[in-house]
Amino acid sequence: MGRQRRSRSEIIFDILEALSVEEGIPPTRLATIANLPYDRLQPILWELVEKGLVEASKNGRSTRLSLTPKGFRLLKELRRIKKILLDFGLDIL
Amino acid sequence: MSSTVEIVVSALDLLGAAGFAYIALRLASLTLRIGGEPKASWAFSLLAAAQILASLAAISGGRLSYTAYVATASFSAAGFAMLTACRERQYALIPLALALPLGFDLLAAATAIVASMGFRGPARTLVAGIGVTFLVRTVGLVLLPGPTGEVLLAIGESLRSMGAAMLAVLYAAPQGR
Repeated sequence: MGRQRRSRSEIIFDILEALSVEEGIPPTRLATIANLPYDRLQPILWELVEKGLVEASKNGRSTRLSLTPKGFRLLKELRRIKKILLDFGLDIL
Repeated sequence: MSSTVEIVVSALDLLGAAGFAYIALRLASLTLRIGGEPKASWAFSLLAAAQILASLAAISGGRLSYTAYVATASFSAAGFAMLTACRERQYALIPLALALPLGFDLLAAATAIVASMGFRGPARTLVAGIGVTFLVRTVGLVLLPGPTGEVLLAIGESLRSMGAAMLAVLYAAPQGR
């Protein structure tokens, strides 16, 4: 049986993980790392920007993305919770 | 049970309740921040409620104690069923619940054991252990009336309280585990 479709919270976790590894990356690169079509990434990404978890800075015509301290804190909490939930056989949320 | 044992069991139940409630709050807070379904948070809330009721059953008397005692098993069964409901094993629970003849204790035992089959690490062992203590409850209460049954019941309750407290504290600890 193939892997189940990722939940929204798993996608957010993957986005935050990708941004924690590579700072200042363009959204298209993030879509590749997070294994997500760009049109599916966009709404989630801008929601994370609105919530102050991800910072989008314009550099000429390109956009660069990085995690804010609030984003790092959320990622840390998600990692801890993921450990618990995996032991209980659950998806991230 | 002697009063000292009752107090210790009740304290362990409250410790377990605090741990489960803390996990439920952390999950609810994350759900609020990033969205998603709060199923896991509800499951741990039900387990916390079960522990509060177990504590009440141990220290109160009369009808309140009896009601809390029965509700401990039903809330535990609900919590474990919700944890199971997050996976494919949920389909095993409905026919199992209909087939069980001896009420909520046996249902709690069955849901805990079925749920534990999908767990890993200490959660697997401890939840299966809690399931077994609910079986001991059924045997002590229904199948072995008299002093032997009472002793068995006291041992089962003490072990269940300890197992639930260990499970809650282990996973509520700041490092996650």
